[in-house]
Amino acid sequence: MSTIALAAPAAMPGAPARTSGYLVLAPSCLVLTIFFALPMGTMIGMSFMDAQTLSPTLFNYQRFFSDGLSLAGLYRTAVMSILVAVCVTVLGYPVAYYLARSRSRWRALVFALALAPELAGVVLRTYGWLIILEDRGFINDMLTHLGVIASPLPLSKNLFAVVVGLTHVVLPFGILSLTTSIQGIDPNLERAAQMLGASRLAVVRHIILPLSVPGIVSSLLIAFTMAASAYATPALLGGARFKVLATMIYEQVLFYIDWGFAAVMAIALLIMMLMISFLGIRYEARRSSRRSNREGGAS
Amino acid sequence: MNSFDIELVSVSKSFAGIPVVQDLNLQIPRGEFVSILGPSGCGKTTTLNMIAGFNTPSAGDVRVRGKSQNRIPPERRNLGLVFQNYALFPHMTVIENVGFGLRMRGTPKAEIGQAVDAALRSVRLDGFGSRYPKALSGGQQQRVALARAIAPRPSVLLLDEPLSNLDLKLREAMRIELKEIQEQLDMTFVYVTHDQEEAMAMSDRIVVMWQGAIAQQGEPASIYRNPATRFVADFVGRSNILSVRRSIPGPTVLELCIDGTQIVLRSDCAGNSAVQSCCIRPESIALLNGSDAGAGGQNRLDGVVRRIVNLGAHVELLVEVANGLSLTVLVPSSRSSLVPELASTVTLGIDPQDVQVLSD
Repeated sequence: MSTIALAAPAAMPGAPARTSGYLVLAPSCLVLTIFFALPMGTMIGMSFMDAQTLSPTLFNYQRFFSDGLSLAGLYRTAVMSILVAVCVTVLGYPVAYYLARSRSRWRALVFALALAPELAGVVLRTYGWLIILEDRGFINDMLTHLGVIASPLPLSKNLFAVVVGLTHVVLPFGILSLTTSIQGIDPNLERAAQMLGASRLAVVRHIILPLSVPGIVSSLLIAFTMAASAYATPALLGGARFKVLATMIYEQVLFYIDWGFAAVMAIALLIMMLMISFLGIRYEARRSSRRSNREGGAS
Repeated sequence: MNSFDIELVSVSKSFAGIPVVQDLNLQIPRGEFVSILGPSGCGKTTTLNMIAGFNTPSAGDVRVRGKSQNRIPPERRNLGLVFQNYALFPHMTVIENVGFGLRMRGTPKAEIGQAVDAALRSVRLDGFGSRYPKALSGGQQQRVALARAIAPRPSVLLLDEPLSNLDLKLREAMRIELKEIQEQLDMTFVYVTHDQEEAMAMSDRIVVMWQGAIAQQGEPASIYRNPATRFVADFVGRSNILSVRRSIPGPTVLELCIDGTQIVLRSDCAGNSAVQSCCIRPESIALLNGSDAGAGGQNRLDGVVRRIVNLGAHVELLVEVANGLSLTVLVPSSRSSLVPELASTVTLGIDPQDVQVLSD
């Protein structure tokens, strides 16, 4: 807040509008400080504290890196999130393309259907998947009755179930970011490519895909971070057999009451997400600067 | 084999029951520069889209070099299209843009290089190949779009108002250049525009469209000199359009009684007694001196100058020749000494061959 107060007088004369512009930001700054920056600081502090004596220690970090279980959890989280990101983007792309380009009267319906799952809530949808995927669930029951299988397939309490559930949860966000990106591509570019002899497939490969890379990157990033930080779906569909960092943190806090170790795991999760976001953003920045560098500085 | 590159045979198109193009018949001979001219909403873009293959005719047949195109998608019609907004691929360099069509046709790399060079040379853009479209001016982008469309050597090049995003000077220069490029390549150009000057300047033939149908087609000069309908007279160039109350066909001339006045104009046009209107181009009306008798059969009208507008090269006069009837007269500025004063009385001379009978 003090930086805001200092910044205002330094502004150019006749800039009261700018000062009030900063004032508008004040409530959200306050909220963010209280509910984001403070807990974050507390968590970082706790990660360096011994749970019993409250004295400073690096023990929690040592434990994280030496204890194979935590690293395995980190690895599972990464694999699961990457799979979800890829599934969401691959499944969402055709829908997004349709939503961006179609002028059919069904468009509104498809749009509603694509986003409707968001209204149902995560837990409800996850239970839905549980009913379908369980050992005594819909698929296994049906296959057993039909005599296709003798014993139930392992469809739940594993990576597969969690990826299916999370893909469903995150898909609308991927679709939204891809749709926005594809909508920004001039439809005449597709027609121009067609006139030059490009088949529908070639148009997608040479025009639409390269030009929607920003949307693909943001869809991957959004899906990855949402999957990595999701709790309810991995907890219900992964259970005790497939643990990711989010469920492990919960366990540490509630069952072992080890806030310090939970904090370290949370920080590991955070760093992983930051690194992925950083990579994605840098990739995009490089791509666009490569193009503008070769422009030779013209307007 | 006939020599028409494009034929439209009774083509109609309606969108959601609303007819946009109705029973259009058009033949475009090989190597011609044909402009489809009309106001917005006349169906010219729909016609172009049907030739390109983006719209399917509701009825009728589109033929390219004698072959029906109704079931052929745009990418297999071997036509080129230049867009109004250029539609260059922003993620490709100029060379990649221009080479795209050949690449899609599977042309060998070395040949692509040569064809791209040749296309860029013909639009005078050699040396810009490694740039991205964003680094080019509007005029340069337009040239790249043109080079990209002609590089695969399409049988016909379609142009959809390609100059309307350029400023006036550049537009005028590009008109001449486009015509030169067309002659050099000996390629059929179909040029869609609402700008009648543009169409006049470049075309071998103009097709004037109105309300989804062809209003008139012909050489630019003949369309300008002999507009067939009220709409064409009004849309192409400027004209004085007069309503005719009664017309009396004579042995050599047609006498037209102008509605609401005592004026009778003689016209060389053939016509019957059903003539409803006629038109006179502002520049074909002469200012006569008091001493100047004018040619024998000329129409003479006296009037009062009500308004003078200086247009630079010309001066435009509004002359009231009867109660409620004024004629616009265009006088070259070089004879500005002859420009009358405001409210002065003048005598106008109109040759009977310049009084054009119109049908509605």
